[in-house]
Amino acid sequence: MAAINLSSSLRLIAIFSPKITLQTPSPSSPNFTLSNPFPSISLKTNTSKRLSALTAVKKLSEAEPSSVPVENSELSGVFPSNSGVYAVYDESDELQFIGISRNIAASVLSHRKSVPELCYKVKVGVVDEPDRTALTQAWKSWMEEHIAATGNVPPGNASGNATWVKKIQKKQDIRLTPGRHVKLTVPLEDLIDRLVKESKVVAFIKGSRSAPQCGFSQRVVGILDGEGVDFESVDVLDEEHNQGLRETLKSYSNWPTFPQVYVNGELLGGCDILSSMYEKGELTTLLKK
Amino acid sequence: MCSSKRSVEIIDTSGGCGASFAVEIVSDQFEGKRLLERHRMVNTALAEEMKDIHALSIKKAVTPTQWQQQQESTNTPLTSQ
Repeated sequence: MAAINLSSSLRLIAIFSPKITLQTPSPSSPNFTLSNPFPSISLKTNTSKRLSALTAVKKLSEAEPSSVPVENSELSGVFPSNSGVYAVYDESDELQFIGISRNIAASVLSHRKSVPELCYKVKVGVVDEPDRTALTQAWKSWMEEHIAATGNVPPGNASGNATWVKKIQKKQDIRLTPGRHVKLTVPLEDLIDRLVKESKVVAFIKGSRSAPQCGFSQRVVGILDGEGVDFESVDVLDEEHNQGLRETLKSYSNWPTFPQVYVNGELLGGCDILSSMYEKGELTTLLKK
Repeated sequence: MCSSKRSVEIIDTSGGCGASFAVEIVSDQFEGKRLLERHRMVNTALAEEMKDIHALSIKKAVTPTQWQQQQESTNTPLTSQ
């Protein structure tokens, strides 16, 4: 068999470029293997349509409840760190609260700490391609289903109940310059370097921390918030206050994509690395250093 | 696992428009390298393609040994042909 190296194999991703017209696998045959010299490479297309939240999320009655583990460290093994809706039940199987979260595992952990006596089992509905509308729609469908079945709003969702939802005042995103009208006396790279070196955790994201503009950035914010990290955030799409940041940051970090997360002055990586470390429990350890 | 101890799986996650991809890679070139370095290797290998791709998610970048361990501990191993 012809030897293949990582570079030549991965370069095959270019065949999917819209500029090149090649037949991609049909839904009936999502896998195909290229002939020699690359027999160990498989290419797939994800043909699933992006369904609306209503069809993507199971009904509340169909979702399987999972017991909340006693050990907080076991939570990420039981509950996903994805965005979605979740329903919390007490020991008597009474529904207490239906919530929306960017990080379900982190939200359950938070409830486990604040109201352990009410947090016994949880049903989860992961929302793929989560935007605010899709999440709200999924939450609404679960609420309506519960109200239709019982005639009651879950106690935690009742007006005025502050047990489950705490209004967190989010930090403002950092602006590296006062605005594009101001001429910089210091190179942008130096401003980045200073921020990264002087802050424990910095996340360069697409969009603001309160409204991330891409799924990867949203996930990073969700994980850091869930871990209770006091982090700085910079919106790389803010061309008014961070003009040229995207290109400068790519060369500064030698990393081509966003988000980018820095811890203790060093690049930790992007969404994939952060997610991987979070799921293995390595992130908590690192952030305690 | 193939004899060259390498496997690359490329998944088009864009629904067919070629804008976003996920990759899962098993390679002995990852041996002794931290996760950040492994991802750098992938990013470097795809430097040209990255100019046209909207999003690339590196789902796995593991050594053959790690892949073997993952395969034994889960029911969803990375496919390799």
